[in-house]
Amino acid sequence: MTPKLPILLLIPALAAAQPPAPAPDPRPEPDPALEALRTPFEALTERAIGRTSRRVRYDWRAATLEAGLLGGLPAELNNFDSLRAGAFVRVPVSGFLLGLEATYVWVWGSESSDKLALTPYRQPGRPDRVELDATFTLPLAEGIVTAWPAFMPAAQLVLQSHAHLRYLLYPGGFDDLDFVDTLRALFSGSLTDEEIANLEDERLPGMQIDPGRIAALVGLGADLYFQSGLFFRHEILIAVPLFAPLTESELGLGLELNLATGISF
Amino acid sequence: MPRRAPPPLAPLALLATLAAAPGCKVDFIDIGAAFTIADAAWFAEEETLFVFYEAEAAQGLGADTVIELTFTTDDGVVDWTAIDSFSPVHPHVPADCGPDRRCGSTSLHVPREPRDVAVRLRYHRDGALTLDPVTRLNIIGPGPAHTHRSLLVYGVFAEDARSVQWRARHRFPTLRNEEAQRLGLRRRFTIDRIRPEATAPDPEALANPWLYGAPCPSAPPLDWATVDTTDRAAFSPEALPAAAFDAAALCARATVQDPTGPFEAPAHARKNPEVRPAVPLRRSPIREATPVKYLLAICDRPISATHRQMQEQRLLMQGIEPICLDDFAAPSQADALVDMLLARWRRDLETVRAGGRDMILAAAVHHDDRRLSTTLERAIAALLATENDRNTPRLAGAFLLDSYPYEVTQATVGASTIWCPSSLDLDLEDLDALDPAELPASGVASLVCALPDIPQLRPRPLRPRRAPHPAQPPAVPRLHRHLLRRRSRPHVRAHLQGPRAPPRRRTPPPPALRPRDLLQRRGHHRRRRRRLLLLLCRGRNPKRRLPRRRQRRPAPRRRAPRLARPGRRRHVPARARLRLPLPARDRVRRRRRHRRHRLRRHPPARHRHRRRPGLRQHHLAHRRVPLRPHAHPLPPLLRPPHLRRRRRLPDRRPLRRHLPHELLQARLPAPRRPGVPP
Repeated sequence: MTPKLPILLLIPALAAAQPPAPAPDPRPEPDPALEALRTPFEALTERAIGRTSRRVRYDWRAATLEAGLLGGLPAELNNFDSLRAGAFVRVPVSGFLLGLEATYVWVWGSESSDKLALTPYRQPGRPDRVELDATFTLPLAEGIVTAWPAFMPAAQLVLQSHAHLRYLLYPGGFDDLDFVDTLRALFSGSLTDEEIANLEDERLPGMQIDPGRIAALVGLGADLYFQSGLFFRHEILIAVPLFAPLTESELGLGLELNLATGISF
Repeated sequence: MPRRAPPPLAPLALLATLAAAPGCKVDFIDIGAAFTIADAAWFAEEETLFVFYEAEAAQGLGADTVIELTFTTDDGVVDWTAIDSFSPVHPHVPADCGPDRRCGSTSLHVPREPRDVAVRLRYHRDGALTLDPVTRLNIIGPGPAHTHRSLLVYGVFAEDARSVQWRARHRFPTLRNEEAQRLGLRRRFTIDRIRPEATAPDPEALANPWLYGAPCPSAPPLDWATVDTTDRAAFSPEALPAAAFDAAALCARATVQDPTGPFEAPAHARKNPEVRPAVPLRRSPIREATPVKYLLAICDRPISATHRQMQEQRLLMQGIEPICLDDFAAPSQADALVDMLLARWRRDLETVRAGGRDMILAAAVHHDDRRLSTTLERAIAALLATENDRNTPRLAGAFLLDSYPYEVTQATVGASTIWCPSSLDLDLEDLDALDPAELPASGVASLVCALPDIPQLRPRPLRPRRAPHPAQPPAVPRLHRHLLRRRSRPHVRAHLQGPRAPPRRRTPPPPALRPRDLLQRRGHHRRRRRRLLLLLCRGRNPKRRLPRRRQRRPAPRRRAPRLARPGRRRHVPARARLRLPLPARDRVRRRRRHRRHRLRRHPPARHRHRRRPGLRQHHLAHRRVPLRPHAHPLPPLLRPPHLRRRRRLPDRRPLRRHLPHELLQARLPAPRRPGVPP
């Protein structure tokens, strides 16, 4: 046990014995070299307020898994119409979301494509297919919002940016292909000649099958979380031809509107 | 610390996307349809119009694309009609020419000669746009069956000459048989009334290679079943009976279906010709002789191991037991040597002769007495005198690889002996003055087969080579340079060396750096900036020596900080920005740069002592081993001249810092033997 009490008793005695020291300068000379490193108090306050003002109605970051159904309207900038539907799962990881989507896309022609079929010209397009997406979602802003009508409870709105890496799978494209050719086709960036020949019957009039197998999409969207974990999502994606030099795709830019609903566990 | 600005990736990605995008709307693409075959042929005897077509396109010929046909006759005009709508008179199967092709054929009964026959492709059944190619029309009038009909029938025998296959062959002016078959045309034909014929008609006399339509002899038919098929060929199920073995051919009645009715014509099947070798037995006048090898050498004293090794290697006699000539070196022993060699050679020749092949005496003579060659010639002459009178197998000749040139004097020896010297006593300059007529019988052969010894390979130190000067002639081979250096005529030297290259200009040395240039360098600039910064912050004397920084290993040079430094932008080639593959030269440079960088960061074990010499010296001093194991044991003055130059040691400062004071005073203690007190 350290004898602290005698020491404490000696401190006032020593202080009384010594002469009083001169008072230090309350405002020391500022070092001009540190001016560039100083941060105003107002800025520190604003930062603190911004960090602590996030109200959480539903903490989607604490969820384990999100799953749901989605439907979409892909708008390739050609004369063919498409509709997609499928399911998705997402996992919150370090403040963002990683997910997988599997959708089936139905494609049908339009009056313009039918008239185009009467000519010696064709327009690149994609027949019915399965799309597998690997998604990356980054939240940009979020907050608690009130909903209409009034009986709807308050919800958490998250504005997000999306990035999708899409893999196209044509079900009839692998007919009459052996195992090695099928593997080679699966890992090829563009459709092989055998696949295009197999898809000739699936091709719509006026359509020239686009050989691209992978695509990239980016866009914005918003998730509306309710307290129970139910959420709705909408997103607008833009197909960017980043892989066009690799896949020989001729579709270029495109739009896609997706609506989804799901539950967060 | 201020944050560095991130690289502008987002605008670059946007620009790359816009550059890669061909446009907002997806363009229309021409399918590029074209006809590769658009042929029509009308046969007057058959009253049939055959049409063949093949069109190709890049994704566009679907089920709605149709091929249409039109033609005009004296009876009227047949307007554009889909070919599939006609009823063909012959079988036509759907032809599969690939996913981007459309091909097929049809045959129509057209009694009168058609004209204005045209084929076209309508892109869509309901569309108005068509592709109109130039259609070739051929009219075949009446004539012989084998030249004026669209189908020939003939037969071929199998290899056993007992089975017969009957074949149909399409015959069109612009299409081959295989093409017509590929485009879907099939013909039905029937074979019956097969009968043998003793002699087949001559195809050349009839100008009818298939003998289709040639008359059949009036012989009783074989009891064979009728062959009826639409395939291109069909076998008769029966085998040829023994009574018909002598028949040269079979003749049958071939019936071909036409729009006008069945057409009958004789079809012949000729037997395969019997062939036999034109030359029953081939004899080659050249037969390899069996070499009987000997090594005649001086065994008691070595003459030249290299020379002997060369002789054994050239005659492929490694490991052979030599015949020692030591006891026959004296001139008085010449006769004894001849007798000994004759006895040995004759004994061995009789043994090898049992193999039935001619022999050749191959001997390598390893000696240093030129008189020995005369004795050997006498022995060979005596051996050949008896062998020349023999029939095959006998000794055909001799090959001697001698150590010295020798001129054969006896004609019988020179006619069948090659006396090959290992070196020539002639100068190259004397070759021009040499008259071949004056050469002895084996002189030319001796000159040709002169073989040098095996040279000893001495690899010289590697050194980089410079690219030759453009005006410099191609390099002269080493042997030529050697000969030219020793002896050669001036005009030969001028011919081989060519014009001399102009003197090479030396690159002037770079100018000396000025102090301002030194300050502009990176290190000086950094130190000066640091000194000024301390001056501003602390207000001290800038001329005071700055405290020495802690020695540490220099950090590897990275590129990312240099990229982000304000006011300095690193040049990135466009090829690297676009991730395009670099040219081979740039790839090699990058690989070498990476290798140098990796070696700087992780030097191999054999180089590490150069980077940290102090530790190595310290370590070696404690182990009491010589400081430089490679040092010569003798002092420099007693060493050979090429070893006197002392190797430059690395910097000693680390040594002084790490070694204790006692070791520094004693400098380098002499190595001690274990167990011996110092």
